[in-house]
Amino acid sequence: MKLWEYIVRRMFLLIFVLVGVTIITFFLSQVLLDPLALYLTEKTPISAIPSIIVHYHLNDPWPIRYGIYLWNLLQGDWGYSKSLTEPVLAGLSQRFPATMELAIAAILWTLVVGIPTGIISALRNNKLPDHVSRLVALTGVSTPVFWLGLLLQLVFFYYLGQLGLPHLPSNGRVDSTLVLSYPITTVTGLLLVDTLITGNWVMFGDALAHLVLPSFALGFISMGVITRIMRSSMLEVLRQDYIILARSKGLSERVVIYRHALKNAMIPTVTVAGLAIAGLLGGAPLTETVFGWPGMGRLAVSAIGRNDAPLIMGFTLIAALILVVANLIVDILYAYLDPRIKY
Amino acid sequence: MRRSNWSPALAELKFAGNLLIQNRVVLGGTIIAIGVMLTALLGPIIVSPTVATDISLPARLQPPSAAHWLGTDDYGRDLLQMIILSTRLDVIAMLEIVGAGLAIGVTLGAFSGFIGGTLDEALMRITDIFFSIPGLVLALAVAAALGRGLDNLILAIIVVQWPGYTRILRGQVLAEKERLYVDALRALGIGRIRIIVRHIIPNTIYPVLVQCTLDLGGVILTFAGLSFLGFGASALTPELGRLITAGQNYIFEAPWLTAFPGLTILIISLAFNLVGDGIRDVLDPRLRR
Repeated sequence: MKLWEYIVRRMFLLIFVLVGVTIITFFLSQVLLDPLALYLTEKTPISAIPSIIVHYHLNDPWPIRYGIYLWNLLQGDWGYSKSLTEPVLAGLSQRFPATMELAIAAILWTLVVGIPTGIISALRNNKLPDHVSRLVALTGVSTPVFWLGLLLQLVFFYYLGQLGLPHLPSNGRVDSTLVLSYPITTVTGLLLVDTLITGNWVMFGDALAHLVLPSFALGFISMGVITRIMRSSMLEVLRQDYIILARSKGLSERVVIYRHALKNAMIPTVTVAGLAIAGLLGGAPLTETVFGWPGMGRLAVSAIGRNDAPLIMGFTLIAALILVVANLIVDILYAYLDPRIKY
Repeated sequence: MRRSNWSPALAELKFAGNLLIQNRVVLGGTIIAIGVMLTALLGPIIVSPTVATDISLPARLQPPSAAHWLGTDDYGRDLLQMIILSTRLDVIAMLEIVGAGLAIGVTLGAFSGFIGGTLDEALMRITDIFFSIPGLVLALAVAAALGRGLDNLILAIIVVQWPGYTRILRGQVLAEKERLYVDALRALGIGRIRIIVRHIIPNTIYPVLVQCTLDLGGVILTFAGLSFLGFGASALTPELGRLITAGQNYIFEAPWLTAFPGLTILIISLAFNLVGDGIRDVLDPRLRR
């Protein structure tokens, strides 16, 4: 089978899985919760209720109601959010760039810290640095991300500030008074990109400073995972014949590792980096809440307090969509990186 | 286990024991995990459960001292005693979630793999769907639909946990059912259910148990995280995530209220992760070279 045939087959599976996800969100929002509640306010007259039920097909059999639900989703009608007083899809897409910016920065932290640590760990296999990195990696997956966020605020915002040292901001995406003097032109919604292309250097620095702590907290969970995978795949590669050959022809250890071993050892790491996106999306509601980051995760959390089911289900759908597409991209990348893989 | 004589099993046990003792990090994790379980078990004996309702406003927000080792919270309750009581709730929830997930996963996985056909295909596609939603997001959505409350939160995380165990066990069963002894049992006229329950499951469950140990640490993080967001136990119930929710209001004036409960979650999660990691190493044949 050729690569494109594989991609087409994967696309079909992707659609199947996404339809499955809508069955779950339909069940949660329309069967477990009373859908009638969505259309009622304190001012709705009781006499209007029967006509609401008929109009929104609330008494129809479930398969028909699911059909209507799916059809509406495909049309871009994801329901109306009472707490935002706007359509769900509009509310989510407005906050999508904030979450993406945070997630991308978190992935960068993960790779920049995780890959070198994994390499060092593999080269000092079973020595002190390896044990330390194992402990640090497991600490990463064992740390409550919301707690780490609070501690980072305490140290890098409060304590540094108390000492009169330059400190990092702990809340939001930009300084709300500074942005009044240097307004940001929205192009992509990613503040770092927008300020960069419009040459707004003051806000670029401010946005970058705001991004440091939340992205580190979010990335910290996956750092350990990447370290461990990098370590084990590096160990695997270093045992291969071609590495022995490279060493025996007298190449320096640096050339052997960085030129020959690293490329192949990176392949499993790429796959796991894709899977780590699931962890990032899961960590987003907690991290965004702690740092007052105006993204989709914080929106979903605030929706819980206001019983805004359409908004929560909308976030669930978007999270699934991102995860599924990310996995597809990783699989294609994997096939591209490793020509030995046949489908 | 299906062993013709006991000497290989003994050798195995000795190998595992040696590996654990050689690896001090894993040994340390095991000791802490045992300590955590004991704390959870003996919590109500060490600390009077009335501590949670023992409000004393003059004693509120005191820093750690000889009288209150970890300080006091905003209701004047001793933080160390609150943490001990909370540990019990969190650890029991963690065990309930993984236990229920295991029971569902093992049952579905065994029948799915053994019977095969349409049932197997349908179940595997359903697990695909569950895997395509990030765990914490799915738990959040289910918990939101079920409403607040401890039992609802536990149920929501069970919904996230079962598919993994189903998949692992089903894979094991697919290989196991091709073995000769299964044919022999069939030839003897033994029924399907009896073969699955008495022979297939006991022979295939070990990898799932390892996965369970590895999951314990993650489950307590999800549980505490969703509690922190306001699901689960009510505000006055001693629960570790809740303690941090209360503590973050005083993060700058009384940082110990946030630091110590979070550190407790970290230690519990880390201990179980170390044990799981160690067990996986013991069972990994590549390490025996």
